[in-house]
Amino acid sequence: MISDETLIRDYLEGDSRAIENLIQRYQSPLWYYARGVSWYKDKSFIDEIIQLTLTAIIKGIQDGEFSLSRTEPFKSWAYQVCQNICWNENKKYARQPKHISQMYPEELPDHLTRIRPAERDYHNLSDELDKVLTELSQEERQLISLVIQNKTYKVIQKIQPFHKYSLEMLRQKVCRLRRLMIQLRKEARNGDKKK
Amino acid sequence: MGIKRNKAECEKYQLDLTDYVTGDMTFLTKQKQRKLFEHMRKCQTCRQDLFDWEETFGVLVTKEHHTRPEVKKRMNTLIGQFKSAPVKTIKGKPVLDNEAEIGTPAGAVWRYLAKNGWVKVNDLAKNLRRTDKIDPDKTKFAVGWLLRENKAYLTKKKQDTYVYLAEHERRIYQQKQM
Repeated sequence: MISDETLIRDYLEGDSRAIENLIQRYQSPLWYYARGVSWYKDKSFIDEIIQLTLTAIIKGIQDGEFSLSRTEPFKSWAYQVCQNICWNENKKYARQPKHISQMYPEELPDHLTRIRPAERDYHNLSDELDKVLTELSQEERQLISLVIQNKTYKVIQKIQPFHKYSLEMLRQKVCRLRRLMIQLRKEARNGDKKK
Repeated sequence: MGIKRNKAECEKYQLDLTDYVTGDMTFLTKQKQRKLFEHMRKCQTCRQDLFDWEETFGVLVTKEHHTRPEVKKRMNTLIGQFKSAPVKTIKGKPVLDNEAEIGTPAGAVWRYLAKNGWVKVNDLAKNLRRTDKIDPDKTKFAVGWLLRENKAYLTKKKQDTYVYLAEHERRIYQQKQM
């Protein structure tokens, strides 16, 4: 795989495809990271953060704020830019009046949060989950797909084949599915270690 | 903060823990959230469960989000803008910003000439290096800038080249001093 630094060097020498490759490499990991750092999980809010982040990164490369002679790797610098923008946008958004429908679950108190290095290892996590999803039944995959699309239990209950379940039963299914997926992730990781 | 797990106690919170991450508030009231947080303050296992589920859910949401056509379109538009923006480089080296590199030293040269009248170009470069920490090359570029704008003139006396500020520029300086 071509290194980040090589892509940046190529971009500065006039190869516009290099910047396209760099952005495509980082767009999902930065989005995942921003979602973890942000106080608000609204997708359009995260999209805005990523747009600001990528613009700041490209400008930083062009203006020499990120220089190839730095000891800090590009990845660390890019995540730091993202984090700073997240914090600024969080504060701005917090000051805006919101309708009750935009209120999210309360944020965890500080003592329950921690910096998770794995948050920055998006591609490995993504590969791990691809394997986990192949182990699920079709109904389980459909259910998790609806949940990640932010469909509530009431909405899911109206979709085939879930209309046969009560809301409480759906809740139980999602909880069991959560535990199953985490178990499968652990097994996949242990399987990789043995190899 | 971690206490040995009481499985029966933890079971009461598993459904709420799942819903907290997915954001489904159908069953999860604010009161239940607070009780969940209070439990996780004491139970390390449930904290780990929460982090694992947040990690898993976060990756799944990210993957799903980036398969959407409108997201791909938006990203392609953004990439297109970056690709079409001119890269300020010449053979891998960044092009310097004229305003920062020459405009600012030109101001220092202007003020120096306004105060001191005729100055040898080499002396000007040495003095501004000492007082304003300006590179001698940039001082000379700045002199060129002022000459081009007819704000300064050059003259020769014996072997030395002198620079001096134009009359109208000196008057501007004097007016500013009043």
